[in-house]
Amino acid sequence: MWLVIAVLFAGFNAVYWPVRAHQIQNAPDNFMSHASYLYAHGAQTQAIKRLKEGIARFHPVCPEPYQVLAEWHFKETKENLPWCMAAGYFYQALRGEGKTRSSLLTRAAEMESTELPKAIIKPEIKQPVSLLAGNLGLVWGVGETLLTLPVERQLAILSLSGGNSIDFHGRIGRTGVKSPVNILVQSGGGRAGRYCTHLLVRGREYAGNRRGFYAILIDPQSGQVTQMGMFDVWQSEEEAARMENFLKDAPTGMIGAFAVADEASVNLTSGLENALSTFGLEPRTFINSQPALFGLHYSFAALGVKGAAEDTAVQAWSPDEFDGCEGHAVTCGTLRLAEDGT
Amino acid sequence: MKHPFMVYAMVFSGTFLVTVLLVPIFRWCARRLDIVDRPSAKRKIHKEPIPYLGGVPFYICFLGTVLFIELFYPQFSQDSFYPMAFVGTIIVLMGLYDDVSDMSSLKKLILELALGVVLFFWGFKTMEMAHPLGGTWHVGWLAIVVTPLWIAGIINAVNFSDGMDGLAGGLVFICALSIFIISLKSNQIVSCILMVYLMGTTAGFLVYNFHPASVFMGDAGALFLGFILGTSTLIEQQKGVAVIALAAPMVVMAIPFLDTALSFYRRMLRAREGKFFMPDRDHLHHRLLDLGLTQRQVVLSMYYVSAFMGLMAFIVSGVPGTYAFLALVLAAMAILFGVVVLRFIEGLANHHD
Repeated sequence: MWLVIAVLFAGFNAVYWPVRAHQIQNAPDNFMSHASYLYAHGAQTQAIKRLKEGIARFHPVCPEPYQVLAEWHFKETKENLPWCMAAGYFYQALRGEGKTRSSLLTRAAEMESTELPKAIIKPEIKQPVSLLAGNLGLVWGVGETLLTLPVERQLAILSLSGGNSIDFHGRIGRTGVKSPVNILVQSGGGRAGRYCTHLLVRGREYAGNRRGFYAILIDPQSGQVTQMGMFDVWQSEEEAARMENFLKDAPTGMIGAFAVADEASVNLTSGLENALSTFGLEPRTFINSQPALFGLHYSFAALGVKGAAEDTAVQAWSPDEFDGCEGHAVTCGTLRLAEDGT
Repeated sequence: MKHPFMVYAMVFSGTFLVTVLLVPIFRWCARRLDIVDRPSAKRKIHKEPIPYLGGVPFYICFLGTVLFIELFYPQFSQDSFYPMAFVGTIIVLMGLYDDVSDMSSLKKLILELALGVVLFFWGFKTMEMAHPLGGTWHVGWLAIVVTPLWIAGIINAVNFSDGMDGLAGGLVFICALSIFIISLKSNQIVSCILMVYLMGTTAGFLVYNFHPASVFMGDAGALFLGFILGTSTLIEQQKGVAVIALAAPMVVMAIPFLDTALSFYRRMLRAREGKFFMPDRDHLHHRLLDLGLTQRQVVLSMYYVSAFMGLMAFIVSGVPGTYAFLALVLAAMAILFGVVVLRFIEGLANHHD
């Protein structure tokens, strides 16, 4: 009888592993190895496309995907992809420690800042940018290194943390709406806990350090914050329902800014997801091969407009962990960089 | 999220049919190989030798279900399926060894705990635990203790309840049905598939095992069913991260757990005599039988209580934290009340004697 069991298990293995290997190769979150396979077999364009898709979907928090993409892109086009190289340094920095981390972050900021528009930064932007960059410096254990950088480079680091989700012309994603005020949203989900969450409008703070989902509504004409709320979506579905009603009651055209503090996915109901989608938010990441807004211990920050078309809002997120690397706080926002508002 | 009801239907009907077809074959094999349960010990209820190996089809159906998902519905596949199949194979081999030549309870327990640790490092490295009142706890490395204890606990709970025709199979069916309904509500597709598998295979087995039984699942079946039930409740996913969610399964499994806890208590009492690992005839079903109930009545009453606990678990999973806590307290009180009533009736019966 033991022989029968052994034969059955051997037969199971003979079928299971070839099928499983094929599934793993094609799994969405396995984009790195699939892209490498394509590249090695001469399908360079497809490989680059697959890698870009994977990065956009999963926001991997390890340097390899960015470094490989930068390298392949250069080989194909003989041109650099500065944001990609900057992201490579950025994640290498987060993996490193002490002085290495500081110097790599400085290098990433330097590279990313070449991508930012050249404009005179208003003084009113400097203070909130420094506040957020200082926070990241503390969370990442580099002390005040980031505060010693010029404000453009601090901004570059913030932009990198959210995967380039800060607009420098006052636009709110692809909603077609321009914000009359500067808005910066930082989420300290995941490893950063709740102590890195900020909703800054005109430099004024609207978030606290309690666990949950922070939301504020901003008048698109005056730039005034009309309503604000904190919903402990980790705790219960009732809180999710309360947030859902808060969002449903918001007048069309209102700008919504959202930030997760610590954790807000446990009771993220489909009703709340639908309510968020009315602000142009869309599940852009994948969890267990299913589209999702964000997952357990993710950092998540977003900026949308009530009544905007789906998938037009600004969304920044970082997974709890990817390929053994830890996630981080993220920042998104919209700024009117130059004095003339361009 | 849309549930793949067609997949559930196919898994249920497939495992049911395969079990119905395979059990007679293994019954025949058991008779030929003389792997039978002889009614020699005092705690045995049956009068004639009954063949074992009725539980081997559970294992075959599990491997079949995993392959079916991999081949046709890979979107529901899980990395943890293979560790389950691998460790499950060892569990079945251990059960077979126990059926053929008795294995000591101590050795079995050590092996079960060791396999639990192996599973923890291989696909079940879950460090988040669902808070019964909402949200999650980060239990960290404490999970390395919780995971093996939970798995060994359920394995033994199912094994202890396998002392009467149709009891273990029926209880596992009811537990799986309850967890299926809870998982359906909370969009846990993988959990639903595993519960449907358990329901299909145990329903197929009950065709032959309900009183009067013509075949027993043996330790090979009981240990494997407990193992699958224990591990499948550990792979619940919340937004991409596995979370140990024990509150609902604990309520669903209250009867087998209570029996295990009482058995542990009795064993502690006789530990001084060096009889901790000696089986006894004081399990809940034995005591109900001693009160004059027929086998069928005992089994049906256990089903009834288990179904009630399943309903309680459903309530626990669906109400806000405070009410869930109250429901848990209520369930615990109902169990305590049941034990007190049982002791009282036993006292009266002894007094009459």
